[in-house]
Amino acid sequence: MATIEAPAPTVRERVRPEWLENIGGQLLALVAALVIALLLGSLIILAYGESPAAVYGAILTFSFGSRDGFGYVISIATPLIFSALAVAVCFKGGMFNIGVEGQYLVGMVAAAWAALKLDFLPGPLLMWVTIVFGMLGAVAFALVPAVLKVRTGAHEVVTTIMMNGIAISLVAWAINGPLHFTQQLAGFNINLRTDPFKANARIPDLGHRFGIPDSAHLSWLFPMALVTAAIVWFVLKRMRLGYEARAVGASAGSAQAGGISIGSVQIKLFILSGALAGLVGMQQLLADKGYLPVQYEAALGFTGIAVAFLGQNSPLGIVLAAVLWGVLARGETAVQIDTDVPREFVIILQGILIISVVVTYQLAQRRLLARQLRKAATVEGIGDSAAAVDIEGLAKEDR
Amino acid sequence: MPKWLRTFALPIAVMGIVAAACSSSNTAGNGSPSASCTSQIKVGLALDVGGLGDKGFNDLAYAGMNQAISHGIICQANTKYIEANSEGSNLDQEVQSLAAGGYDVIIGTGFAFSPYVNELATQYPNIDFGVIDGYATCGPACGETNPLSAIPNVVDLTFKEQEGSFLVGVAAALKAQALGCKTVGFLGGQTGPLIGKFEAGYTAGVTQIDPSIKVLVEYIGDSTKAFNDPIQGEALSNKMYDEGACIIYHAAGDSGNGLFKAAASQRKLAIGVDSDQYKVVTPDEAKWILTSMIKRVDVATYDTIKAVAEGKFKGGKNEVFDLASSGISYSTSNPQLMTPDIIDAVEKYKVKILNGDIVPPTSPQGA
Repeated sequence: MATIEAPAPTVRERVRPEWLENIGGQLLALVAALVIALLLGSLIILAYGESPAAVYGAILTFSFGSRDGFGYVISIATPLIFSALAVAVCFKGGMFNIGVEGQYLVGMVAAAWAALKLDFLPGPLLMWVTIVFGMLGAVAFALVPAVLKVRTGAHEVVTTIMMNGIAISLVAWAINGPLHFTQQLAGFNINLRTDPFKANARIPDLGHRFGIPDSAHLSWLFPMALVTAAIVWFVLKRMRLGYEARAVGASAGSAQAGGISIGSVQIKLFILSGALAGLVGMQQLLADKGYLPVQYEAALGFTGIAVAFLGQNSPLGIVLAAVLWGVLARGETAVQIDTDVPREFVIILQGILIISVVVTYQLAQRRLLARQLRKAATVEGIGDSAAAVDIEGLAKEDR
Repeated sequence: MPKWLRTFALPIAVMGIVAAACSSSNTAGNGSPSASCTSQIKVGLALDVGGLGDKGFNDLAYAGMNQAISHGIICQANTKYIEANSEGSNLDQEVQSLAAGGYDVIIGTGFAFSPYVNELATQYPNIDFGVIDGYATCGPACGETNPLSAIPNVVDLTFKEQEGSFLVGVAAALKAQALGCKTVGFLGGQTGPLIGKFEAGYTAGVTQIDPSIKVLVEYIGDSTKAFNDPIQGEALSNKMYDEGACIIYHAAGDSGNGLFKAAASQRKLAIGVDSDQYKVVTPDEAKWILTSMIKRVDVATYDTIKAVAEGKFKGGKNEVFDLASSGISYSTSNPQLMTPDIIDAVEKYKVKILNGDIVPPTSPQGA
């Protein structure tokens, strides 16, 4: 990265299609980040007097060595796919939806309400209605910061963070109030929660078809997550909204000059993001527990930001990153069972991985941009050393 | 030196130094073989959020397991504990991985393990499970997979916290009278039926001695973080002290450490919970602790391990620990505050509870 040599004007650049250049760079960045994280992690392992091969081996065996283990990895990854997609959709439009956390909590409350109060609905209809209510609840909650942004210019980062606090209280209120556990069971410390849902509100188990025990809670939600990722890819790459989103994200001013209504695009993106956020809670609500307890699994929205980063906001990358995250999360138990390395090691490893990805991805982007600019300069025949310096400056500015 | 190397040289050097510093402190292993130990029983402890060092629940369960080791019932090398992640979202995997690892008895330290133990118990019928504070034997009525009849290998280990809370309420009222104050306080963690038992028993104990004493009640909150928020605990304690409370009893886990801080700075009294907290906090704070309501999680853990080791384990039930079984008690370790006259009075009420003359309530009035 030191200095870019001035290209000779006559040298013909290796011609590679842009998408290959793009994916190649991204993949290289990811692999480099993974290698850096594993190397730094090895130092920590060595400090504990364990062998890196044994520790990484334990983590991998725990995830891929048994059907149970793989089932758990997939059920950890499933909600993360949804939350990372929700983050990525807004990010394409240049917005940071930190509120996926709050949105999915509200989605869970709305879904729990539907599952309990609309339980007269027959068969799988109840499940689908419950899921739709979850999405609607999250969309409604996401619309508030979206409208505030478009109407008043209130920054979505601030408003969504603040609204996460409201969502936490809303769940507590719902469990204490309208959705309160109604049965009296003397002698048991039943935690605060809703009543159990009827069986037809729950998402059917998929894992047992592959010999994975029900307790892993690998459900039909995982294939739904894959389909959702494909849909998001299609919307972002092949539909007008995706194009407009990228235009607004790249330069709102230019997009507006080009006839795109920024506000409308931002609202649409937030609606899409909210709908995806509404699906985050379905794994624990409908595949795992079958009721909404006060000890719900929190922070999936925040983890989604990390997974979106790791997957570089591309749907395919997000699916892979979510599975990787699932492997690491399962590793938190693995290292405790098989080694003397404490579980915090995995958290450190996750942190190093994120930082490495951010750095290597940034480097890859700069390299790509510099190459594109140089190509452009070559075409225009101004490939002297002065132009090369300019390019270096531009590439830096781009950060 | 190439630029990339320069970029990474410093971080790598720092890592090296940190690594060297850490390596010397790693002595605590999970299993050092003991020469004389012959027991083959493998014990797995699945810890809840907070893990070891929480000065509460998890530490107590661990102490119970260690007691079993020192009594030669089980061998150190055959034990294993695992901690939950910070969100508490991998409790199921803790139980599953211990079960898959061939442990003979698995104890989950907290009611959040209940649904997972209920679910996994049928998958591993040869393993005995215990859940502290649990409701794993509650079955479908609690939204769980298996009915009681299907899980004869599971026992819930619950406590009559209201009995001990009643006794510390008696002590608080007597001390308040001695100090000439008419208000005491209760600091709860997370609202709900479990902490409600503490509040109800405590209030009943205070009222038993002097109905004119007012009991202020504050809860940290509704979310799970309520047990892990000492700052809020300190603020609410200060509020109650400012409103005239001279003694505050907490059932708020780690948030209770805020109470002890407030008590020391306001020079007022506090009552601890779960373990004898007089022995746990700093000496500056300890001298303001009147007593603690002791919940013998360690005894429950020890008893369960012992029963399995002796082949006497009986599952499929909710095993209740109370004053009568010494699973619940109160501490007298601060002689400056817990004077003989107070202890005598508390003992009298203890007898009344044991006789059944007094039955402390399990839920607060009006709830």
